Amino acid sequence: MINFLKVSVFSLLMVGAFWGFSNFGIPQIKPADPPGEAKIDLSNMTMEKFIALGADLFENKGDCALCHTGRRAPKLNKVAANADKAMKDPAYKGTAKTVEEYLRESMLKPSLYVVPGFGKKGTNDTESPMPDIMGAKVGFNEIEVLAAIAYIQDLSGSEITVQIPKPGAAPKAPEASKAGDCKK
Amino acid sequence: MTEADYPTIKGVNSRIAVWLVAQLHLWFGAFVVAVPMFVFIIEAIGMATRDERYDNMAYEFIKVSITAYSLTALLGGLLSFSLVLFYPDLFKYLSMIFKDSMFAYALLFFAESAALYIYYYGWHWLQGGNKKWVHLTFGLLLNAVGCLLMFLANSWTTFMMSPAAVDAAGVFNGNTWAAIHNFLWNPLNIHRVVANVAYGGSVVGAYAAFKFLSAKNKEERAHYDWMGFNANFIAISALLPLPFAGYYLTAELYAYSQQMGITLMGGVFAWLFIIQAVLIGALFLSANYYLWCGMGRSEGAYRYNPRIKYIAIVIVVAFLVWFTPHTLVLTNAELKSLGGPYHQYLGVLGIMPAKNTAVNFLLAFTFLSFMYYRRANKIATVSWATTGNAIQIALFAAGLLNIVILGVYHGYFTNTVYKVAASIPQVLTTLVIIVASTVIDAFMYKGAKEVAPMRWGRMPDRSQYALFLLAVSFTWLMGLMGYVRSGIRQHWHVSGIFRDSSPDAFTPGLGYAANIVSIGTILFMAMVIFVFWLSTISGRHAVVKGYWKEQA
Repeated sequence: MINFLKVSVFSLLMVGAFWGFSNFGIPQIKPADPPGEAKIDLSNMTMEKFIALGADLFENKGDCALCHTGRRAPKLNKVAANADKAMKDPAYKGTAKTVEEYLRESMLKPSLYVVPGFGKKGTNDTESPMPDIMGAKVGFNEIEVLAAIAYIQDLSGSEITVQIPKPGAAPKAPEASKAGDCKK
Repeated sequence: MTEADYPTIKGVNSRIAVWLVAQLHLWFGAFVVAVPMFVFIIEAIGMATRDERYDNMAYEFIKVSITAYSLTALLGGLLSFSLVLFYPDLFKYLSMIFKDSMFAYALLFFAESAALYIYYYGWHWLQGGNKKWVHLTFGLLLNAVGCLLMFLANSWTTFMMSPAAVDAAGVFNGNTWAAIHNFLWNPLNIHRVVANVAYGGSVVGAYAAFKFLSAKNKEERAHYDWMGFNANFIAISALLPLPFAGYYLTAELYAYSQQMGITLMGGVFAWLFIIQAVLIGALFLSANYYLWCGMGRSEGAYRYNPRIKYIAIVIVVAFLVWFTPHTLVLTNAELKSLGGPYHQYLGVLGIMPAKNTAVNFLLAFTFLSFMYYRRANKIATVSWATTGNAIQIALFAAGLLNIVILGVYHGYFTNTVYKVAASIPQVLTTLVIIVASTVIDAFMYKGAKEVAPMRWGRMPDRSQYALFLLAVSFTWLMGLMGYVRSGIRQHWHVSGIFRDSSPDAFTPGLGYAANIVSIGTILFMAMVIFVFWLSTISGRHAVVKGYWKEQA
């Protein structure tokens, strides 16, 4: 019985030590809440606010900043300046004619043009690892896509050509998940 | 889906209930899948050497796992009910995709139960000659079915992380095999097989330690000391390749989704790897400490004692390097005082190449401890023993130097993108050291002279607590890594396909997770003690005179 108690106390102390270290030995960081469908008030929207909205989406809901650091995905501070060059590249498969169209294309169909060195491993830069931002994984709606384009145009020092949507414009919903529907 | 689609029971938190039940099921499942693996090997060794002690030990190990098997099944049933009750839509979705494999899984339980019961209850019946071969074949069958069951369950888990055979909206295309054989299936299978063996070894080690401490005589003490040694050996043997399996799983995770990989290694989960370093440090220190204590079993080991302190220093330093965080979360005043988020001197130790170097040193020096232990009571008699030793020393020296050069070059003289490139050659170097040294040792110590006998049972009681520490640390570590594996899906039931819309969709922080893992560990330890106790009382016979009516 003594041994049983000794072993139990020892084990509890060990569990307590691991628990204590995890709670008090390291900083407690609260993970971000799941992204929700934020209500965007377009009635008093200025371009400055719209760009700020894009920046917020870029950092938070889209988690774009996680990859677009130049390590895993290209930095976006020169994307507008490089857009013309990219659209003339033989590897470019899109149909965009303007910087805005090119940015939209890159967000919704990222594999139409992959910046050399940033493609999926083994695809010879023909396939992008980036998800479609209106797809289920990121879930941007039409207004959010426009805000993200405005932010990136501003970030890369390009002329901001995006038009702020009119109040009351229904945001085109992102692709809905149909999980649960199976072929019979 | 909305919160209303998730049924609730008053006073029960759905996620915590499912989390705890799933984790308990996984701990027991890991144990009962692993034990037959090494029982099979031990039985085969007994057959080959005709040493009955191996057979008896294998039987005692499987006896412990029998009760655990029932608990695993009970917890599996409870998990299924919990999922149906609390997450009916998710369960329905997964069932529609995996209906074939789920049905096969249920049927395979009959096969596993049959193989296990014949293997266990037929142990003393199927002895000697061809019967022993028949018995061993049942062991093999038991392992095959056990692994198959685990692989099937793994496919459901990994599908939730890296869904396959579904389109972007989650609609299943009907290809069941593609859904099973999803991107992370094999990496997780490999990782779990290795981890389960290490875990199973640590739990039976705790059993042997408890029996050792409670032993009534010298013979029992010697028996359980030997059993504890073998359990620790099994745990260490699997612990050494485990980080490599972990690297592989993580690399594949990055290959599947960079976003998921970054979520795992950066952001809120980054600090989890500091906790992991503490736990793995505890595992390595306890396993080494047990080996060093074990060298007291033979007078022949005393010649190695002076070297132990140097191994201990290397292991502690390696542990501290691993433990060094990369980026510190600081207040503005602290940032100003430090001059940035990195410490002036220690910051360089926080990067991955430094940690990889430390881990490979941990592994190489733990192996060195084991080599000294193995040689403890022997002297090599082959004519080339001096040359063999010199080759081994050169192998260790060159290998360790290579690990340092790789770490320093990739860590501090290459572009950020190439920082992790050192990990694979470093791992291969460690593997070469381990494999080549083992081969040389095996030939060099063939027919070696015994310096002094091994005195089984001559172990201090404190050494047994190292075995308990091993089991507790392993259990807690598995719980923690289970949390992060699941946590990187964030607010998704099935990553990017099936969103979690329940009130518990948030990703829990480390402190919250530590609370649940600790509660789970305590529950598991209590249930394991119950299992140990059952296996003890099953051998007891109380003779009560005068209770039963005398028969004519």
